[in-house]
Amino acid sequence: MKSVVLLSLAGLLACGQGEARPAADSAANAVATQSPVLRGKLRGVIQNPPQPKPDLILLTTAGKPFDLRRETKGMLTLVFFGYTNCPDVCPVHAANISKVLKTLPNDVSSRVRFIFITTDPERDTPEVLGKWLASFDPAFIGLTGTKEQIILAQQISQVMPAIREPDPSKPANYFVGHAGQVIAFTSDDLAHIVYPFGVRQLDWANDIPILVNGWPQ
Amino acid sequence: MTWWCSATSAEWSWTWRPYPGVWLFALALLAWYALTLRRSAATPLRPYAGTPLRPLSFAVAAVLLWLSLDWPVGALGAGYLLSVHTTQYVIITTVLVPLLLIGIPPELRPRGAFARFMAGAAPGLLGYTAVMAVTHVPSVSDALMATQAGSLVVDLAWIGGAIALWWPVLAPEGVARISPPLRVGYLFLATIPPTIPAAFMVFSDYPLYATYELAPRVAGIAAGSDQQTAGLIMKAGADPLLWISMAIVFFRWQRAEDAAERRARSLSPQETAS
Repeated sequence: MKSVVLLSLAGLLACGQGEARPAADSAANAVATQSPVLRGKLRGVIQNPPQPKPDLILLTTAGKPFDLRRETKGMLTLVFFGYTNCPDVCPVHAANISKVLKTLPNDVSSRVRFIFITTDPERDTPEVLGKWLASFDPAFIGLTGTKEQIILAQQISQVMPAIREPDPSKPANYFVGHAGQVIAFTSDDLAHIVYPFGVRQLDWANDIPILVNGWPQ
Repeated sequence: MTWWCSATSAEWSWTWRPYPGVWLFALALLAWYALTLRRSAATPLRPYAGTPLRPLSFAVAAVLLWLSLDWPVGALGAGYLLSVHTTQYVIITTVLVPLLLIGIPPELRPRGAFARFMAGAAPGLLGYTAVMAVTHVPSVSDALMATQAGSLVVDLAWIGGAIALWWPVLAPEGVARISPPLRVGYLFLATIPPTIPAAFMVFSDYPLYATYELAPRVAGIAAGSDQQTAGLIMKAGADPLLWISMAIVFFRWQRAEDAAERRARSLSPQETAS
């Protein structure tokens, strides 16, 4: 009797295993078929080939070295080059990302890092940069460095290095022409997608929950 | 030369900028009124004499038109703050156009079949609702506000929609308007359609209009709070003005009814004797 019960249990387990395998296969198939769909749903600009996360070490607003690859490992990392006196693109990107992160569930927003690298290190002192970013979201990370380090950071991040432009209305002032896109590095440390200026909160709210789970292969 | 305010995506500046199209529009309106009045005054009837409030009302409307469409309100509303855009809408719809219509004397009333048709409740309400709905569709608004011509179309459409709304209530004497009690109900119905875009503005998680979401920020006002303020202005700003209008219509009607009753009584002495 005991053996019959054991055999029956073994049979049940075998059946269970037999059923589990197709289920796992179908899940894998679902992921495989979902990925192009998910990629199709993304609203940023897909880069092919993707660009690697730059090997950067800059200073935080607290004056501590920040190793971009190490500190953001496994996170969805949104990297943007801008400056705090920017009248248009920078505050809009920062405000939109900040707003969306506040509306997304915590298990999604906690896996996102927004890195703002100043292109105007002269005026964007760590204090100024920190205060400006905190006005959007205290979790935003501001990075700075020497002028040369910032230029190098832009080059290895494959964006056009920023240039100084005179302000015609105020000669003492100047603007900084800089790249307008946010580069999104997924957990594989690659940027498969970038977000140019014009991307809206709805677009971020659509894409971030997909990208925090890694690039849909 | 920039003739009309539109969204430019340039940084907002408090430095004055001229918009001659707005000045010409307001001046043309005043010139038309003055010329038409002069012509009307030259007629043997001279029906316009003794009613100075009408030209005053029309002049105030023209000044309001200028103020609400010119810099800074016009420029802020066209390309920076949805709350200012909605304020313009509320001013045009509930203050400017009523004053404009009050200013038109009976002799200047349009006499065509269209004017008679639009004096009905249904065409008025439908015309107003259609303009309000279409001009607040985000894709339509974003496309139109990006150009001067498009922005002009929006402003003219608002004026047209508001004329449609108020014509059955404030058309000059001589036009067969709807009855006073019906006017009260009609104005109450007019408070309902704006609730829909206003609710979307207040309760939407994200900004609806790309124009205002991506515009350079003014005074650090976030796009989300700007949109919520706009929704509140659309309801809480416009509704009280319509309620006041309802109250005015109602009490005038009541006063007229009382007067008619008193007249009727004075004409029948037997009744008063008994």
